[in-house]
Amino acid sequence: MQKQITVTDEELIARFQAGTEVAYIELVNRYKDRLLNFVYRFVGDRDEAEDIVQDTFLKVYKNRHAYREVAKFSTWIYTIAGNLARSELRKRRRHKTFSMSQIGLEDKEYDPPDTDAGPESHVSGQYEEAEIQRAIRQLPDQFRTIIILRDIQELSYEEISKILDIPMGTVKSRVNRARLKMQDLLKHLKENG
Amino acid sequence: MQCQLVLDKYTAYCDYDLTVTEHSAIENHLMECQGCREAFEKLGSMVKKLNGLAELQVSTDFNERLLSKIAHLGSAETHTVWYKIPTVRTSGYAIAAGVALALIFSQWMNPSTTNPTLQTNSSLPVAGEISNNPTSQPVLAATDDSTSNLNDTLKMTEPTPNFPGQQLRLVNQTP
Repeated sequence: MQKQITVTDEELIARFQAGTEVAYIELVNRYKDRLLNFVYRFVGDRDEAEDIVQDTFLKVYKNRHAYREVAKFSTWIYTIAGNLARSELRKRRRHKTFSMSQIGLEDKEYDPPDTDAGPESHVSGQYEEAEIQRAIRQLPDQFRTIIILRDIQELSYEEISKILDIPMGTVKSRVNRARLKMQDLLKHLKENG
Repeated sequence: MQCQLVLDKYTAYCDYDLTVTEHSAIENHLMECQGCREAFEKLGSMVKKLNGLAELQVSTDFNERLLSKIAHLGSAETHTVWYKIPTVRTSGYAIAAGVALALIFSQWMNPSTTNPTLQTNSSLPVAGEISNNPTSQPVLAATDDSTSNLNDTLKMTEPTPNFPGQQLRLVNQTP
């Protein structure tokens, strides 16, 4: 029987702060995919999302001593990634305002992610996912963040409240409003259960 | 109960985050209102889809690239340190050198201000005597001693700046 030793994120960052770099690698391995999915839903571009996740880990590396154990490590790292993603979106919006007259399109073409599932189901599946992604990007920023954190990343209300620094009641009401807004944006999709 | 009010409570209803009375009121409404029932079903289906969106994975070389950036970051930090410290040091040296040159120059221009005569320490290999001379031209005179060239005495009649490494002591000026 395999013995499983669970070291918490907070213990790992403490070890990293004390100079153990292996602890940092473990944190990277724990969070890299989660953060990629979070940031990707935000910016809609896989490569860009991966760059932002790299920047997030670089920030963690450089500012490791800024972390205090009063907050959960996940809260801290999601906050960093969220800020970087938002800043990237702002940058892009400024660029888009400048270049929209040239391209005449509101959004660049959606690039569906590569997945390992079977090819047949992906004709409709990819279209549906593309539409969901498009709807997410059409949401106002505050709803977009909340829907990604709650319904895609499945974080707890408490954790979302800490990451966004808003009261739990506000988180709950925003989740509901974001869902209703999403549903409205996706109403053209065929209901398939 | 109004339909919009029911929709506003959708998440709280799913999370069992309502009072028993509120929960029952919504259930009763759903039994009667087909529109709200369908809306709840669609919302539930959408949340399920969001939960099940394809999970992306980072590239296989993600860690490698990250560690390479960190290594580069380390060397950049080293360079910063390398540039910072000498800047402070050299500026200090430059100020000290400037002050020293100014002192030497002022002494050179106005030799009469130098009252004491300096003589090198006798422990040094070459015995030299420095005496104050009001003339501005330095004169280096050697008194030839025919018995031994090794005992040549060098007399410098020009006040000379103090060079590092020379051990100097004050001597009484001979009239």
